[in-house]
Amino acid sequence: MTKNSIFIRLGRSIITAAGIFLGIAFMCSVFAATAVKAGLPQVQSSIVVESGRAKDIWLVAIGLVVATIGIVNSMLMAVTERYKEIGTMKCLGALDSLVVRLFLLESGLLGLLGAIAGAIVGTGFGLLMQAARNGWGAVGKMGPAFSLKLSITGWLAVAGMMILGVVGFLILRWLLSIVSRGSQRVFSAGSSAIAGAAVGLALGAVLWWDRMTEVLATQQIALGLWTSVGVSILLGAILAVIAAVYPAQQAAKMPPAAALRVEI
Amino acid sequence: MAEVHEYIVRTKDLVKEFILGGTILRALDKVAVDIRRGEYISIMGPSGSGKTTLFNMVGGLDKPTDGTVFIDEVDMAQLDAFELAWLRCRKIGYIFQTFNLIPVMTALENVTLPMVFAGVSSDEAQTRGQQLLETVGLGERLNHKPSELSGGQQQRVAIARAFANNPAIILADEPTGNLDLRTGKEIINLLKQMNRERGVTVISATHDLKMIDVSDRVIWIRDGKIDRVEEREDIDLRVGTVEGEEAG
Repeated sequence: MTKNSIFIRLGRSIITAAGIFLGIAFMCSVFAATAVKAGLPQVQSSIVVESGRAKDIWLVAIGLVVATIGIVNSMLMAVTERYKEIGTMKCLGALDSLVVRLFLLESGLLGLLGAIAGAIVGTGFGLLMQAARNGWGAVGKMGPAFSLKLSITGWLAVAGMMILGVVGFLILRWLLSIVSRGSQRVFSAGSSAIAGAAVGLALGAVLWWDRMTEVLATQQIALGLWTSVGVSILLGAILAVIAAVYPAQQAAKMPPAAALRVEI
Repeated sequence: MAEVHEYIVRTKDLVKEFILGGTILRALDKVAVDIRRGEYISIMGPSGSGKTTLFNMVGGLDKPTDGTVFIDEVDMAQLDAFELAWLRCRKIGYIFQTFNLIPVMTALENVTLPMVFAGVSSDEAQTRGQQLLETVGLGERLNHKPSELSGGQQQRVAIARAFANNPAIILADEPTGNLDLRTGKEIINLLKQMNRERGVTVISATHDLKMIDVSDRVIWIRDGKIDRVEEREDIDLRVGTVEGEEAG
């Protein structure tokens, strides 16, 4: 069903995927450049590289935020376009949670495809740029792109944030069900838990970012370019799913009669 | 008649209000209808009289402002989202004026969709879907998309879809509204045939006078109130005059 939906609206699906493609491609090209630069003897752990890296991180973060907002926008379009379809499906016995899952799946799939393409193109582009500037030799002696080494307490803190996130979302879901007197089960327990974990992970990453960059600067453990590609793809898919949460909820919570009345 | 009727749908003091531009519009005003199992009912009335609103209330597609709807003596307001979805899936089949098929799916996929929601295995769904499409005369068109079918054919697919999970009630909202006279007549006959053969209760909101011919009872609704309820025998006399009005 999701597959059909994507193919029949190929044009808009490509735009959705292009958003995450560009964000991830930029991120990967920056990672690739960082990895090559880290391998160059003359610039290793210099102040210039550090400040450049902070700027890069900002640019990457902004790029990803813009890409995510783009997905929210195009998924809202996708939802509005299909109100009638959603209303019909609810008449035929679809649960709200199924409608939500359908849109999350569609967005996640598009995000995954966009991120895979973006990671390949971005990494290739970054490496080519560095090769043009420093020669192929520098690319061969590549250093770490970034590192995920944290102290035990750091990992525990991130894990703790994730657990807090899950608990928080489950409580939120419970509160929502009380407020709406149980009439709207928009989230399944599973999806709230996943959302909570993602938020916890993001918070943990932000709080422990300085620790990560510190490790990154000292290059204690290098995770290669492959890891950066893998992380980017995962991040792209997760961002696409998160971006679809609000539009999907909008779609699911409409009473069928109201959804069927909508004329576009 | 001394026989005791079993009511499949009952409404009690049903009120639905819409707020339009700051004023309250009462679309349904204390509507009480009792519908017997196996009946073919037409809800008739001019546009804006509350037919569709009543249809939405009975089908659980919208919540009434006040009053209750009983389906098989179960109060709809007491059902949670899950039970409501169960009811829509297995108890009620919906047919719409605008067909509302899913455009990205073939006829067969459209018919099997409610079975997927009901958890029917895909093999069984395929066989049953094919049988249903053959019953409505579209055995040759299983893999056509809605855009490749005529209006009448699309409505036939919608009827097959409505019967997917062997519902007890078929709710049809102006099923012939978008069809020409002859196709409309075919659709009405098909509904009547299903009503007779399967014993399913058909409730149809319409202002198509051809519908009167096949109905067991007609509920006339006007300005959100029940105007009158007529049995078939009484109606036969009236058809002539009504058709005369239409011609004139």
